[in-house]
Amino acid sequence: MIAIATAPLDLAGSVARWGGRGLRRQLRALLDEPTGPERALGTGTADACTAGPAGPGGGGLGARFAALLEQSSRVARDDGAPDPVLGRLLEQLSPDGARVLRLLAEGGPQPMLDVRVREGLRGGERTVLADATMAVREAGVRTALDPAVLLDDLRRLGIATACDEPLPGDGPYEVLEAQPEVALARRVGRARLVRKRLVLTPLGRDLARAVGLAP
Amino acid sequence: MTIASFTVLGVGVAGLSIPLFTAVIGYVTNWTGIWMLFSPLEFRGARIPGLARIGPALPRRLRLVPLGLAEGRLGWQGIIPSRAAKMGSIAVDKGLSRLGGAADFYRQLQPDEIAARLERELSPQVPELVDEAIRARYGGLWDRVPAGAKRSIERRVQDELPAALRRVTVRIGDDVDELLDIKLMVIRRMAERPQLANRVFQEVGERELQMIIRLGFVFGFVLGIPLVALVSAVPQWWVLPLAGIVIGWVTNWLAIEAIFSPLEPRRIGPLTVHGLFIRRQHDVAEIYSSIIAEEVLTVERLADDLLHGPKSDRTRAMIAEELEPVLDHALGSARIALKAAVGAGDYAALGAEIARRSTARSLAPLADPELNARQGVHIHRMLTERMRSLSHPEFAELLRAAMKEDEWLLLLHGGALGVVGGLLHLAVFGTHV
Repeated sequence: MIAIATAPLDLAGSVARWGGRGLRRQLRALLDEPTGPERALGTGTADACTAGPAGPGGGGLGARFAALLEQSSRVARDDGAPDPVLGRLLEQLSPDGARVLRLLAEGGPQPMLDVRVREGLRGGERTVLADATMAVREAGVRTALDPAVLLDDLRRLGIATACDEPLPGDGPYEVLEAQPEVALARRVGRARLVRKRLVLTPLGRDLARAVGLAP
Repeated sequence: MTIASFTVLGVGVAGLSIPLFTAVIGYVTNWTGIWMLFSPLEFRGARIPGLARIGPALPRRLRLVPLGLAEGRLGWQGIIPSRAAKMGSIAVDKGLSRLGGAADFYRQLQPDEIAARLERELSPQVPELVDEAIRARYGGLWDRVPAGAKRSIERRVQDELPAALRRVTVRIGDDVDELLDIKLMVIRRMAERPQLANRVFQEVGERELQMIIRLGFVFGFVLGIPLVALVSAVPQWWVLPLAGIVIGWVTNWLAIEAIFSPLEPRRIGPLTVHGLFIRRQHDVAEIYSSIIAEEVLTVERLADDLLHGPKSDRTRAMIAEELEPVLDHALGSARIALKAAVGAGDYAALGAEIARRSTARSLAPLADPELNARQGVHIHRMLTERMRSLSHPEFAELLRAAMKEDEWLLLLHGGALGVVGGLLHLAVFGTHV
């Protein structure tokens, strides 16, 4: 493995791929025989594998982790395969989530707001409506779907997030502030509207670029 | 006796002219106030360097008025056009959505008649359509098909097209909520054409708006009479400008109140008072609905939204699903050979291609003004009935919600004009009355 690091750059890729396959074989062997001679591999990750928790699945996870590090240690990964993170992300994305991703990628950040109500004289505040936005509706998702659930899912995946900085100007918020649910929440008490925006995270932007969505 | 020495109850010309001045203030205030409601349609103004940085820090109230401050500009856009999108949204919430969902609107447009119309328009175009689609996909392959076989394929498509179109319109009706978002459609349309919001008020209230301007004169005059006494009692220079603020403010306030209050008719002696626009709910509902039926929820707009709106991909997929079997049947046994020649995936794409081409061609007949007018009658009737049945307070909210946040600025502008009037009187006559 040390030889790979010192190999000329143009050779590094192919050697790494070859070395990768070899290493994977070794690791698999290691899994079956944790105390076997292959322990002498000399990489820290392999040590961590054998020193891992004794539970039945523990060794498997350790090996997977080691495989990840091994993959990341390849100098050039020019095999043309899509980024594994984005691939997995796409697998987890719901069809309606895809519509919201498309809207955020092509239409940019979307207006979002919280309605907070002041309580008592001390100036404490309570949020009576959180993350109100028309983005989900604008994206044209199925009507039966609860927009909050979809947004939670996108947040869980790390694709979209609410950002405290409001969009410039009033135009974007005008219609949102006139929505019945916002009007209803404002009636709860001395209400304050907190303007925010729904944006793609850097990960979300990467995913959008990878799937060919253009701003 | 000269004019300068003319007095009534010891008050000279300078004093007597005060009610005239305040009357003019009242008139001008209401006249410009109404101008501010409707004009200009688009924002007019200039970008002020540095304002973009202060803009967001300004009080919410100030940011909300259509001065452009929040965008770092200074200028003006008519209050109503600047709120057109919001008005549309509220109109849907208060009026349209209570009628039922998109399905009701769709039904009112008589989809059967629309399908029949499409069939008449599209049927003669079938040969061209099929020919273009297949040629676009397969080029040379299609050219080798004998003319007789081509014609038989085209005839079969023609035969099956009416049933397929009817299936499409029925399926759209069944799933219209997943294909169409009436509220977003109205919001977009109003934002695109803010003059529609102006028309609601201007077409209904031509007479009322003129009356409000004239009432400004009357209110100003009446409020100016006690001012004469006040100026005589307190001969200070600041009395007139200060009173001008009050008079300008009150006149504009009275004008807005006269439009919307009282919500319910109230008898005061021999008179019945009722908000000028609220009193005319019956007519306003008719005009409001006609604007929606003629400009917003038309066959053309609905078709455009179905085929180009945020959910158009679903409509298109549905149309393709219905038209593909038509193609299958038309090609008959030839389709097996074709599938083998081009692959199943490409063959499915051919169905989509024909669907795409036929939907593109359906938009033109659906834009026909005569068709839109005929189908719009039902929507107009339904909306008018619904708006007429709203309670007075609900109806007032429908009209007022759009401008409520800007009313203080109208009052402030009245006050500012009042100061100018007061100072003008001072400049002409001095402090002595």
